Amino acid sequence: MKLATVNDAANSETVSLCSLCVGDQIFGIDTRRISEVLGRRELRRVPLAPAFIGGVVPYRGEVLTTVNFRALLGSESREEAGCVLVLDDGERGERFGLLVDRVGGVVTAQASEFDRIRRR
Amino acid sequence: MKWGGLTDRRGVDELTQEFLAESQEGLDRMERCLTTLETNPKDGELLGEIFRAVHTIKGTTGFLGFKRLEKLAHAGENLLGSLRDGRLQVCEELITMLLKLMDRLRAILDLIESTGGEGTRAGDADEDLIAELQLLNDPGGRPVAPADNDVSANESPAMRDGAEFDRGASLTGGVKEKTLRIDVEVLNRMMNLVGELVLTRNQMLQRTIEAATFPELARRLDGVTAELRETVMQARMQPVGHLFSTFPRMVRDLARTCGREVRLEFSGQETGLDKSLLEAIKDPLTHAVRNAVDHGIEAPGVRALAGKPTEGCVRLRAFHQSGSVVVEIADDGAGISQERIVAKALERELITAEQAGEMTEREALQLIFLPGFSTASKITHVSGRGVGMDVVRANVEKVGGSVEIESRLGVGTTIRMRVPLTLAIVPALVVKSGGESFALPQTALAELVYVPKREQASAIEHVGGAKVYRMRGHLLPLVWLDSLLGLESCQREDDHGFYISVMEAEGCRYGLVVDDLMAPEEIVVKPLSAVLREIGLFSGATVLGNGTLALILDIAAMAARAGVKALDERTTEETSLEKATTGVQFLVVEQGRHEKSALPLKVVERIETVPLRSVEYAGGEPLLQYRGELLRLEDKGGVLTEAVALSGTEVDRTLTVLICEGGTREDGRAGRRVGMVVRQVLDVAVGEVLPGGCSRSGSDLVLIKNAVLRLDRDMAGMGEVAR
Repeated sequence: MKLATVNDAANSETVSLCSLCVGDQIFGIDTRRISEVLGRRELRRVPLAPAFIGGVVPYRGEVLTTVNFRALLGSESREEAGCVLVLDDGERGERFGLLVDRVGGVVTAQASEFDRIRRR
Repeated sequence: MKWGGLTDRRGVDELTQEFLAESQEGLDRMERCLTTLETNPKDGELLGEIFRAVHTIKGTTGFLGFKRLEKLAHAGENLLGSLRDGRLQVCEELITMLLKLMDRLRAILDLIESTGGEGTRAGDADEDLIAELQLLNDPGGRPVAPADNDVSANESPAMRDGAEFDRGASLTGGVKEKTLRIDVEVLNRMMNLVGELVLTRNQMLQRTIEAATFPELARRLDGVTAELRETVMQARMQPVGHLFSTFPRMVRDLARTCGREVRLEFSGQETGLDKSLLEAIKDPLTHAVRNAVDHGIEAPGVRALAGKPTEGCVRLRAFHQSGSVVVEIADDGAGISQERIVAKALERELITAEQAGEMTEREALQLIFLPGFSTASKITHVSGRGVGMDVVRANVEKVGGSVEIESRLGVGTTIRMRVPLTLAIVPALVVKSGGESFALPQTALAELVYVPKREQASAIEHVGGAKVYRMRGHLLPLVWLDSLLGLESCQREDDHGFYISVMEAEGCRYGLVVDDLMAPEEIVVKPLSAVLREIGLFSGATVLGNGTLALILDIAAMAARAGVKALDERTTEETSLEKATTGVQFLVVEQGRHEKSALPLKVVERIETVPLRSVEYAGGEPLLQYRGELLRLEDKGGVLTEAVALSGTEVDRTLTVLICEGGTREDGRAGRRVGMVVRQVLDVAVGEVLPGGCSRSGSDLVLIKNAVLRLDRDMAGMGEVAR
């Protein structure tokens, strides 16, 4: 699962990115990967599910499994409902939701402006 | 190697793909026809069909350049030609030969599909088969068509005949697996319904919720949706007969290899089953039929000694039962010896001697579902190779089904596979536990028990660390849903107790403790993603009527997780006995003062306690709003009148109302539900309707626990239910 899609975007000239927030951190995600922004949703928790699963939410006649980005980052969970983004994992054709605190706007960026994150 | 196959498959071009699909379908038809032909040798149409299948293959292969296939198909065609022209008679040998030909053709087709080529290695030679075919075609040099062995001479008349066949075949020939043939009629109906759906939506958009016509529109939407859903499901349904049709051939071959005489009987071929399910149960079913012929049916000699007809019978039966399709494979063979199973399990060290000692008959039979179990004392090449019933069970359960086995020594064995009608929609009961809702499939739900708070302490007993509930004299192991799922159990302050839903799965019977019962609903099952499936306790999720999601519980998996075993054999035996012998259960209630009467339990949907305040009146008739429906209240015992009279003194008076289904009215339409006000509910018991009871008061008499009670059958249809 690639969340930061820096690599995908490297080849194209400009990329439109959707910004999203978790706590005080801001992330960008390639808009082509986003099927829909569902907005604030109450999730149905799934008992005994791994910690990074935020729950399930009905989406266009399907049951969408939602990944809690907060839990993935190792942050504390919070009470209020978050925003759900519907993402398409192009390679496996699997759709999933991403639970974030807030969705910002769309920004257009030059691919050349990207800095690679170097692995330590 | 897998990978190699995959790339090669891509190498097969579209034309070849189509040819493969068409040929396979032709061979499927041929197979069906061949087995029928044996019993019906004079049927020209059958012969034509078989001829066409082989001919089509031959014609197309020549043109695609599959020489090996062409040669073989040609030899077959010659033989079939003679048969069709009446120069040869249908005999067992001939059928066997044709079946052999068919297998070989199929093998080559498979080879083409997986490798892209038909294979020309030494091991792939078909000369032997071709020679055999020719020999049959020319038995002992009897004068037949001139130049019988001359390929080109004999080919021309066949080709001419075949030209028209060919067209017919390619018209009907379709591609397999990913496509489905749908009746145009069904498609049209769908289109109409979609049109109506759009119209209704448009009208709804133009009006507001307050509009007077809104309820009517909502009803129409409801109707259209239901009908559309049904039609779409219908389109996915395939008759089980499709699956059955492959068995006559298999059973025939098997019976000959094993030296058995077997007759195959079918019923319920028209029973529809979702296409994907049909494919899913194909292998388990095949396995079960094999077992029945190989292990079930005895050799003719043995049968004669046992006083049975030498010809054994395998019955395949499909039918609908409470929302699922049951496919039954029954043989009238030797049955399964319990001692042998136990001995075998001991030998394979699947159980300990100690376990074997305390095993019941039912448990012993279940042993054959253990991995690595096979009772065949000698391993035949047909079955008994160690892959056994465990695989059957696993496969059926994968699609949400279950397998049961029943066997009586010397009488026969019945294997029953129960699969959902469709993977999509199941009736379920929505329950609440730990503040969250879950759906229990109704198929696994046996009954519901309410335990009031004040009785909790006395109702639950402890047996060796496990909690059990004493139910009609038997012990029912209890599983708390909230603690099993690690939910926070919500303690309620009021004196609300809990419910025990008695579940049955894989021979286990246990009570699932939940906080509250919600509505029964027809739920649309949505699959869960892989990561959630791994939890292993949920078979899916569903969107409930109120828009929230509920997880669907996997009853069998929960029993396994909670460590519930099919322990109390007596319980299950006796309850099934109860059902089998007497049939009808009654709810005993007190209606008038000190006057007991009985209602068939079947008609009672729920027992509700409602505040007296919620009873409304229209035209002097008492009514109750119940889940969006207006229920007429029946007050025969004068309970309501009495309560109203007393309500001045008691403000929070409540009424016990039985929500009864309306049955069918005399004009054939489904009747409305009715609420019956009763003084109190006394008991649930099995009873018997007394013939010729007093009809004076519109009631029959019923005998329950040696006491005669009045049977309330005022509601139409109830009399039928009772019988």
